Amino acid sequence: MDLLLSIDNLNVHFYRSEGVLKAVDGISYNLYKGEVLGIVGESGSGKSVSVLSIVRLLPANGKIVDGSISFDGKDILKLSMNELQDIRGKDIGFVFQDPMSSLNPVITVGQQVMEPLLWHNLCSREEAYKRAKNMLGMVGIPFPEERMKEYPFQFSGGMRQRVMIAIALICNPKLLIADEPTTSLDVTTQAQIIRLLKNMRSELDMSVILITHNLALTSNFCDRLIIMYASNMMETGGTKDVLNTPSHPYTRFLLDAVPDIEVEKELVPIPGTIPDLINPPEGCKFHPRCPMSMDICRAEKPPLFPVGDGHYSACWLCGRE
Amino acid sequence: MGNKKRIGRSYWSNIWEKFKRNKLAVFGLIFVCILILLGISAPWLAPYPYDEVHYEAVWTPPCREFLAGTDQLGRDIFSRLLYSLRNAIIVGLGAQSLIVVIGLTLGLIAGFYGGKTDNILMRIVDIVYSFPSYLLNIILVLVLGRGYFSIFVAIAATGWAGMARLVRGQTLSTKSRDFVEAARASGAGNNRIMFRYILPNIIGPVIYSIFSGIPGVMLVESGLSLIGLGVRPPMPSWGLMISEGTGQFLYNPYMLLAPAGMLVLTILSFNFVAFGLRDALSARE
Repeated sequence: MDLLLSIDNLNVHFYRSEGVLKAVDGISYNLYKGEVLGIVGESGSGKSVSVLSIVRLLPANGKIVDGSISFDGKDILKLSMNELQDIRGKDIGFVFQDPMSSLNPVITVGQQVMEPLLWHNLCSREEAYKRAKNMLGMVGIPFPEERMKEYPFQFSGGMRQRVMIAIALICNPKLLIADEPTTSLDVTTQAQIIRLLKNMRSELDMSVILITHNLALTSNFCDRLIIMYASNMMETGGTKDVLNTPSHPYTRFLLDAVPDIEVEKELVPIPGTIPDLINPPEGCKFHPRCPMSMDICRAEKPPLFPVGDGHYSACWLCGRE
Repeated sequence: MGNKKRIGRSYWSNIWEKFKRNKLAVFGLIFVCILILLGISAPWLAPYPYDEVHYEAVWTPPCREFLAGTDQLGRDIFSRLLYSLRNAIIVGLGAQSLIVVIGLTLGLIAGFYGGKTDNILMRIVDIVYSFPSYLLNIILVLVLGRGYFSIFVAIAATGWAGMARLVRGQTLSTKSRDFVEAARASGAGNNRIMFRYILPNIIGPVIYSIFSGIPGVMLVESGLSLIGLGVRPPMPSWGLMISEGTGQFLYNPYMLLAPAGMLVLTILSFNFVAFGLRDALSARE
């Protein structure tokens, strides 16, 4: 498989008045063409920041301090603003968390779907209109031609998320980044949106990075998973491997906290709270909450140990064997 | 769902719907339109030239010949009221457009780019804001000489600061909204974000501020005329007419009441329109 995206030792810091917040602390992963990668983690674990860095879309106080990002053979961190704008929306499409506020309220929906095509000078206005109409039909919006003349407030949440997906996909991107695309939608709409993403992926033949804190969504969509906790990668591997044979205590805790309708089991909350990222714990970031923590966990940060075929875990327990 | 019905209800038609519900605002808008028409057609409507003196008919109370009476030189007050209206509208719109151009540009730049640019521009705004504006108006008119242009400049030189502050604040809050980030993610540059994403979204409060600012500008002009620094006589102005009328109030009250009444009515109607706009624009989505 061809490599599309390669992130190596990415470090992102946020400069706050209280101190430096390490939002992403040395993350490395590869993404191949056509692959679906799921990034799972709690709020504030750095999963959004790690993907926003791919197009350098960080807030003003955030800075990529170390590492390299290579997308499609280009070194992202060395590109000028114009070259970056060329990639955003054209080669990499974004779908954000909250569809209610991610559309411009004063421009018609049709215009907003057409705009990325026009901005990147990909085709004429008439052609853009046709492609936008087709794309809106493809993402499941009935009467696309009539709906194009309407404004965002005339759309429901699920419909707006479909519009967002249409905007992200209109330029046929090589990579679609969906940042918690279903979080603010109700459960039935969630399933529809995930099914839509799945269909669009196979139809348009692109790679997808899906960010979520919902493990259930990843199991039948993602090829590979990354589990993140407190700005660090805890475990990564094939979706089945990670979900069936979790090797990091944090992943096990996460799976225990997922309700299952078929098996009656007690839901176990993870003890403790997420650490303060400005003054994070020494060594493994999870050790204060980990019942299996050892002396070495408190002293040294564990590297990623191989535990199976393409399956890695950042836990000293796995390094011992 | 009623798919057919909803089509074509745009952002602006929604606002118009809400505006229409406010009877006072609609009444104000009609009155403002009439005033503007009267102002434009003053040279044709006025029964006498504004500077024609009738020595045989000084201080004539309102009658059929002189609808609002005559002043101490026997000039027709009704004609002078029309010309004053024309002047007030010219000054109001002229100075207000200058204020909008300066305030909108600087406010947008300060709010959008932030940092040092913002700091420098806002400190200038603070200086202008803290200056006694009426005094500055007087000085500027004295330096530039009397005339429409110098009145525009004098009023805009002090008035733009408020507009710049408003626009900056609106820009700051709009800049951090999700759809701006989404636009960046689909490849929009700074100019596109400013003109296509921020400007259309802040235009509501700006329109309100334009309308509510016009009466203020008219008052400043009247104030300048009151002390003899407004439009150059014999060109009439409400302020000048009021100042002439005050001395005559006990003997010829119409000389004060006519221009003062017109001033009050004009300012009230502009304010009603502004309040209606504010209510219609503030209730979004």
